[in-house]
Amino acid sequence: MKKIRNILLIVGISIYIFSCTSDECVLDSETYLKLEINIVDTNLVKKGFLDSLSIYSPFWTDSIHSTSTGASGNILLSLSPDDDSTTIIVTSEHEPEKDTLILYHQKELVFLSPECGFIYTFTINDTSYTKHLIDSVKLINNELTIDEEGSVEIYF
Amino acid sequence: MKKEVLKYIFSVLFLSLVCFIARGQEPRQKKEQRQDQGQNQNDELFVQEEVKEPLQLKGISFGVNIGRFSDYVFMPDRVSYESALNVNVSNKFYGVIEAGYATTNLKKDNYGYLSEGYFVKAGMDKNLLKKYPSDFLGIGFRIGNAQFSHSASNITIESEHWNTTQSSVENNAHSFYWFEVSFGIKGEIFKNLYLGWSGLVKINMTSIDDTFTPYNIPGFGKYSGTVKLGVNYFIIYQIPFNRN
Repeated sequence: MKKIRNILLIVGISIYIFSCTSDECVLDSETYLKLEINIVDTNLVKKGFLDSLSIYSPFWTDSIHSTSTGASGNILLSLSPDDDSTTIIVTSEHEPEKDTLILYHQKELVFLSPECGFIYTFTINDTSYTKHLIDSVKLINNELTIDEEGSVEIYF
Repeated sequence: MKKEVLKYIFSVLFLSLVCFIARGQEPRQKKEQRQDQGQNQNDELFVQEEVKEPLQLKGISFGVNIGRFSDYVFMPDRVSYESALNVNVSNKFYGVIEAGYATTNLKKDNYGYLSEGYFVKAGMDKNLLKKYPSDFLGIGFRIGNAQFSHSASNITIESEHWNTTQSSVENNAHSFYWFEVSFGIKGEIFKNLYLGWSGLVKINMTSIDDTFTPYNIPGFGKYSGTVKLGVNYFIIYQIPFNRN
């Protein structure tokens, strides 16, 4: 009887302890889209197009610069929570012309956890773009959630 | 972190108290054992026919979940109450109805959360003790239902590049069902007054929209898609009638 009671007390304490959770947010509280830049045009590679590539939105106060060199690289960005579309301008120091990429999306407010609060997740439905330097755009993964990044491939 | 340590200390102290109380029951139990042994010696002389006692009502008891009061210290944003009604049948089976009410008013830097509702649980416990039927060590099950609503306000979402957005989620009403398996002990600390705890395994039977999951479902706790563990601490008063 005593043995059983001791086992039960240990089980009771364990259950109580395991039911406790931390108050800190350990998750990333923003969702991201990965732009995969692929330079097919060898002239652009020779000019160092990717080395000086940067993207920005008319609503941003800054821009994101590519940290890659050569023929391919990635840039991470977040989509606009204010609108149903996100406009991105792609530019490079070595080319006078700019391209505009528009991503059309739907957003959803998700309660991530009591510790982290709310986030927006996105579903990209369509894309449109100018073709000054861009050859083609492929939508690889249209879901932006905490578990997965969205993915778009751009070919120059 | 400090909050968690206090919670552990509270838990250990409380369970130590239960252990201490349970030890207090031993002399009486030993006495009963000796009486049983004396009876057994007599049984050797006269072969008695085993008579099965018919099931009979042995008492009705009311309980209050005192574990809920720790919320005042550790989770001041929650207020919850829970009480129980037990019907004792032959000290073997206990019909149980539990009911409670819970509110949560959470004010965080990036959102506010409000929920309110009540719950009812019905089920049965089986006492596995045979020698000391005034105490309880057993298993049980419950079916639980919570009716509650929740909403969120002042949701602020900051972004590295975009403007900070403000939003809110309107009141969502839910009916939530779960199945519960319990495993617990209960000891008589004073005449007709019992103290006990039970470990709970709560199995979710209702799916809720993933985009706005409840922070605190009355009677169930934080929303879990599958299984959730919990502990209840009850103080129980038994109406003294039909006790031997």
